Amino acid sequence: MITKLFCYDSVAKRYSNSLIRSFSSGILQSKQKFSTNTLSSPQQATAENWSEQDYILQADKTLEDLYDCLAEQGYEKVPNFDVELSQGVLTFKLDENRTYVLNTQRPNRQLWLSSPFSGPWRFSWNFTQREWKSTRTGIQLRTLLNEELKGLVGIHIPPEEVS
Amino acid sequence: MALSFLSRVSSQLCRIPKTIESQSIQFNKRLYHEKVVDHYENPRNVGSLDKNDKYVGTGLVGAPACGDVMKLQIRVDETGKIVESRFKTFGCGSAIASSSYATELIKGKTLEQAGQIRNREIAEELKLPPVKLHCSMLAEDAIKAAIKDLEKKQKECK
Repeated sequence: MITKLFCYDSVAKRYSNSLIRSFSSGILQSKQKFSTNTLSSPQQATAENWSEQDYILQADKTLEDLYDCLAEQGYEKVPNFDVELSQGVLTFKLDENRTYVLNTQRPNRQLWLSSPFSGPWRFSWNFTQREWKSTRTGIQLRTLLNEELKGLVGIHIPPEEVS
Repeated sequence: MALSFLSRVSSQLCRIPKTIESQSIQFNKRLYHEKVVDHYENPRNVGSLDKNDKYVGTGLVGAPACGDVMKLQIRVDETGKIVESRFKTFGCGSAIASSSYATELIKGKTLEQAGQIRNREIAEELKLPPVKLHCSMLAEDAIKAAIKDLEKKQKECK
């Protein structure tokens, strides 16, 4: 009991008490009230039932497959192309002003994409369709990338290989 | 005085990477844009409104585990125009700047106009780098959440 009190007290010292209370009650309310970019839809995998290890395996596989695909085509088709994969972050540049970043987001088992054309996206793994699907519009990650890249620079991103 | 000294020191420190770079050492520049720094050092509309007030809408988005949480509150008058807005954000400089700028953007707007604000507007104004675009989306979500909360309250009152 005393240990718990100590822990709560030290946390309270870092953040104001009112802010913690509003966060915890607010987050519960937000899950009940509306769905935003920050939450997975009920039909998709949730952070609770997918182990972090399995998530990392799948996420790393997706990032590596995309890296291979981009490295194969990008340097030939795009003059100032560069692609890098490091510590769960895939970064590729079409030029100095157009950079994509695709990174893992462990706490909620998602992939987060930043596109220079369509902005930020969050993707959750869909166990039925075996694909990463946007929490906002439901579009698949590879479909979105393919639509943007094929039209602009001719890089083709094939659908996810079902294993 | 101490604060101004610290800000001068920090701005000097920000210039150091340019000197190192000129000596042909590979340096990955990750500096905040001056507009982000401005909002960080001089945040607009920090604070809280009474969430039980029927003219106040509260939007709370994000999660501590992900690194960013934003609380954005709006107060409207009888005509439905936003007359006051407040924010409190836990997160990086870009998240703080995005929510601070969002409170500036929505003031004086109707709920419908505020609901049409897009993350792109915030990201372009603050010159956010690719990896920080998510902060601007969270700010857009916070605005929408506050509007939705207010609309729900107004519906319940009728």
